[in-house]
Amino acid sequence: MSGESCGLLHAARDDDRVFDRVDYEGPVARWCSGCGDHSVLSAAQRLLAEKQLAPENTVFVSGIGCSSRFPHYMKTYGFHGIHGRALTIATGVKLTRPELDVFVVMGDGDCISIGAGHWVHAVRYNVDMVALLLDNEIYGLTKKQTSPTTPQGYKSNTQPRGSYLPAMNPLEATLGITNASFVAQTAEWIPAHLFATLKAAYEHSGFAFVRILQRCPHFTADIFGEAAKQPDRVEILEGPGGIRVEALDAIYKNKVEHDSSDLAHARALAQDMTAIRLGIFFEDESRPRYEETRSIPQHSAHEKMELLEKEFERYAV
Amino acid sequence: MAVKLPTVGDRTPTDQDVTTYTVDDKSVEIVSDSGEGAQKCGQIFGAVSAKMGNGVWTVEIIPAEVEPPPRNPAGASGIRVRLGSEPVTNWGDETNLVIAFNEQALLGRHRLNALADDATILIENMWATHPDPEIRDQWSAAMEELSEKDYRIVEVPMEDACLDVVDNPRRGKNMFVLGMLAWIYDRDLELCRAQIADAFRKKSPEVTERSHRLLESGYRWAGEHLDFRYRIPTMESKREMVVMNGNEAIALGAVAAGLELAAMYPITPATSVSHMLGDVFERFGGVVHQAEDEIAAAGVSIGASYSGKCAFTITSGPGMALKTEFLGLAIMTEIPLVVVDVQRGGPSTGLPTKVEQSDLLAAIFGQPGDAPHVVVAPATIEECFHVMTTARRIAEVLRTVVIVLSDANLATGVAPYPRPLLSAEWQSTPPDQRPIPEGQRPYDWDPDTGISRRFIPGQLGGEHTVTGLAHDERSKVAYDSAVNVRASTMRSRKLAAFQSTLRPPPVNGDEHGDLLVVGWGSTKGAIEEAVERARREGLAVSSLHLTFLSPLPPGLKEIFSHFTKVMTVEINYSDELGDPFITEQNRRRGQLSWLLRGATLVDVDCWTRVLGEPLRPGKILGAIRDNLPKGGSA
Amino acid sequence: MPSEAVMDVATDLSERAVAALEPRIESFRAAVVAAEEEVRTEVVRRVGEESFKTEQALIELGPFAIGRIDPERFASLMGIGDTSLTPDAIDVLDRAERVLKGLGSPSVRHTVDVEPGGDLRDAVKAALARFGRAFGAARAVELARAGAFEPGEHGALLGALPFRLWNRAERRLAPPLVVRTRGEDCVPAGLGEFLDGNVALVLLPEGPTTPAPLARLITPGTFVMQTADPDDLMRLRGTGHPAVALLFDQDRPGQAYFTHDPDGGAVPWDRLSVVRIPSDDDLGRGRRASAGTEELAHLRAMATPATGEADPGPSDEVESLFGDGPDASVDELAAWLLSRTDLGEE
Repeated sequence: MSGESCGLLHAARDDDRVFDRVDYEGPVARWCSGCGDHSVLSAAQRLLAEKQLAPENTVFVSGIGCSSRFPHYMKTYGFHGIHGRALTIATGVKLTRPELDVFVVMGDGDCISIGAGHWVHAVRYNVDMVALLLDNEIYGLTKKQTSPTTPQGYKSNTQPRGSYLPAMNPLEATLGITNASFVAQTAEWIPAHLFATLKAAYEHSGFAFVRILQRCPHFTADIFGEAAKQPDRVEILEGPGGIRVEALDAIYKNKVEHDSSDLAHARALAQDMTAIRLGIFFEDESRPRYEETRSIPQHSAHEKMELLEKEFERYAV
Repeated sequence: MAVKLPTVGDRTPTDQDVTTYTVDDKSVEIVSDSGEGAQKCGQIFGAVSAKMGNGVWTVEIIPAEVEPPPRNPAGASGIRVRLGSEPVTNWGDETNLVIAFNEQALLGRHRLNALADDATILIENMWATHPDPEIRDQWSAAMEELSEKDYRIVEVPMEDACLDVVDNPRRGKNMFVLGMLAWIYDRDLELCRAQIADAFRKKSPEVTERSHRLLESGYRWAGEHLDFRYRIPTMESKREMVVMNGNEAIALGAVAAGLELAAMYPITPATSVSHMLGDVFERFGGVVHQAEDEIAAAGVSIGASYSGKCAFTITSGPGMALKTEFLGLAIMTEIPLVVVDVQRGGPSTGLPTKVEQSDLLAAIFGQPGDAPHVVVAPATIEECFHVMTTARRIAEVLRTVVIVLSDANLATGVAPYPRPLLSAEWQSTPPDQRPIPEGQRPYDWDPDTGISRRFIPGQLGGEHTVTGLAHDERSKVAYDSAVNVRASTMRSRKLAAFQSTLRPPPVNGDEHGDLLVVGWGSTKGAIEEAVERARREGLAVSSLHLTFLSPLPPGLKEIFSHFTKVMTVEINYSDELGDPFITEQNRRRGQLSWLLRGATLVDVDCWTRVLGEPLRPGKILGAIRDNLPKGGSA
Repeated sequence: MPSEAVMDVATDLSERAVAALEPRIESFRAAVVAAEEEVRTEVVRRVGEESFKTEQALIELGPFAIGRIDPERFASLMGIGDTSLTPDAIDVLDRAERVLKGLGSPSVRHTVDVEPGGDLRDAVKAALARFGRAFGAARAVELARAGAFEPGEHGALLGALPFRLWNRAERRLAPPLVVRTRGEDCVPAGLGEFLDGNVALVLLPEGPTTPAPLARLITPGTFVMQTADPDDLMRLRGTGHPAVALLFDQDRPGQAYFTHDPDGGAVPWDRLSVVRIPSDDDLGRGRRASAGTEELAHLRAMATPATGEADPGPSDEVESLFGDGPDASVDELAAWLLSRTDLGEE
């Protein structure tokens, strides 16, 4: 994703502002303490500062859920929409204003359940944006209902005897969608890896889907809360096209060799949901991008009216 | 227009035998199995007639299935063309002339009472002597059934006659029929040839050439065998005219209005707008986005509007239902959006290809929560073109949703209208991208009007997050009651401010009388024709047509007070007094009638029908006679 | 006087070059047109006040509103929340709008002819400065709308704006140019300063030139191409880098054909794909030949993989230079790379 301004008047305002992380900070985030959302917010702010994105040219779009409050805590443009539909709004933004940098923040219910139809198609459209799935495997805002990614047997208020079905595998599903161009997984409790993944996602040209494993201190503390204490359970993907965070070598010793252009291997790696595998599963920048195929030269109002006159000729009697 | 014809018999009529009837209004139906080209024939005939200066209204007769079984009354496909000396505003009453490719399609129309009792029918007679005995039996049975009415049936050996010209008469019979019509109505053959060439411009030249020969053959045959012709005087019009259907007009209107993105999902009868846009929009720098579903179509257009472009989405009833939550979001976040609803029969899947006006109340009140917005209904094909510019401007000035209610009648009706005098000023005014001055907030509601300036991404200093949650002037989520009351008031005030700019609608006819018929949308032409006929009968009837349904224009109560009775005429369901259980209290009424009763406290009656077809002026006239208050002037 | 046939070749080549640059021309024009419309709207909205506003409301609402909406009342709802502008500011907008309108016309030519004996660099500089009027006008508009336009200080913005004053964003919007020149005048050494942002230059020399006039313009971030095949120019569409291409009017033995694509790799020999480097024998004699020898040596050196220590592969140093942020100048980077490959200025 690259932010290229296309407006002349906008270009005239280009200045030599230098942005610091605080320039992207909105009001203090009001998520629970220990919530993984804080970590993602801070990584995003760091990314924007590193890439020196102008706040006015950056849009965070979200749906409904704990994580969807995200845009309110950024000092950029934001759109806190309705449940499950963030990707559709983001697509509209990007289709008409390709020069804006667009980030979409969704929870597991938002993206995988009520918004599943849009998720599938947004992956296929491959519109240039970063889509973050903040997956804590539970509905938090509405207080502990089963989500599609809740592990089988896990008890919630809606399925008190435990979730009836095997959990949905968002990575495997995304990797199965035609025209997927970037699929990665990271964990909010490993900030260095989270940041490196977000950076790679931003630099990717196309729809970058990042699943972020995330702790919910209230409702699923025993899922990723436990995993965060056990570096042995984590496997880091390394290899061509991957990301490499040396600082983590001392703690995370399990490595999986993977070439991010190898889709079949990516799918194989994604299948096993018990392993916590982090890294870029797949990337292919050559896939067609919908907004590029739909990019259309502009005409002035007068030119359009001339064209319209011609159009009316076909209907003239 | 009842016309008695002399009988032809078997002999060839000479010029002396041909009677030419001069009439100022005439309709013809061409009916066939699906795929036999009856509609193409009617479209060309209509276009030629428009070019010759007649008023024209054509409407397609569409079976619900893509390929219904052949020779089946339910599968009748075709077209009605109504011609007049003056502009024609609706499809008229029963048809006087029918050209049928087979007797089953004809039966379908007969059973729907689409034919005048004394209609003339020209019918392909190959079925009478068909090798299949079952078909011969069907023919006989059909003739028996048709003999209930006083039709004049003329058998035409269409295929046989076509065989003189082409090897396969199945393809091109419609052009033979066009030739017959050209003789009957004395159409300019050169114009016919040119129109045929235009209609087949994407096909090989042989198709045009063959069609020309068939046209001439049909013309010749009619001249040698028929004994009647019609002359419909034309009116000189200085204005240049264009002819198209309502969906095409909406599509071109969207271009003229400078709308830059259309997001849609295929749905009958709205889809042809996107076909049209898909063909031309991109040449104007616009994008037609076929979304994965109706909801996404709304989301994408809201995203586009949020980013400063003006977008629209187009759908029909079931799609409106799906978009509902997004409409609420657009209203709450004050993002301008134009939504076109081409209404069809409902509820649920209902009658996908047929007209109804049943979405009115859902369009106005269908969004959960208080969601004030504008609803407007074009009444003619010309208005379908122009409404888009107005809708867009209102949406942007008020920062709200404008719903445009069209319907299947306008969508498929084809009629000429004065070629618009285009203005570049209708076009997109690119959004104000200036930096936001210090201290300005994204919802600085003007206390008098509720209007505030819109911030769009890219504007320096305007960074904020729009939200569907209750929010204050800074767009900060606010759950407290004072903010909620203020914000609700401001959103509503925009509607009041807009209402103050509306003018009272003009009364068609005298401003005082016994009965005022009130309509909205596509029924305008039929209602006004019925009212005119009633007035010629001496009845003290007037009509009023509403364009803005939300907010309603001022002055309605005053207008109503000058009539003994007020009655809406609509294409939607209402209970009939006298039906089991139905009383004045529990009666479910026509949708506009509910609205007007609430807005004016006048006892507005209604006469509504859900026949799956446009209202016929004759039926409305009947309703007017039946509903005149007792003691009226009639 | 060139013969008619020669003229036709020249016209054809310049049409081909313009066609290859079409997307860049179109995006520049689109930006100008969009700005022009925005400014015009603003001027229209500001000028004349109430009575004019009513008329504007009437027009903008279109015929559908006639008799249904009171334009005067509707006008009172328009522009609520807008900040007002002074008449002087409106005047600036008006003048800027005229500049933009002129530059947004589809008939604006992106072709520059260098007078025989003229200076190539000066011609390009002047042409860019003329297009720069669009950026100057846009800046004037922004200043005027912010109430900060001082005629003394900013008046020049409504004239030509030289390339060196264009900012990063403006350079990304830069218009492309097709430059026609006599072969002997095709001395592009001075064009390096313009190769930034989205600038694309196509040189069309008529007659023989030195073998590799563009060799000296190769820097790691610049797309550089010499060819005699007009079809190759379409490659300019795919690059996101500043670009300069030279299209010979005919195939001659002494011409070097090559493409330097920044996306080709981290080292010069990966980025440079050579179709032909003529031998020194092909060059003939004279001043042109000696300049040619130098150019070709330069090219050959760049095309040859370095060994051992000289390898300037993707080291941390490269990383840090790029990492300096968008301000890290191309010149610095070029200087550094040239020093590493032993190709620096004599």
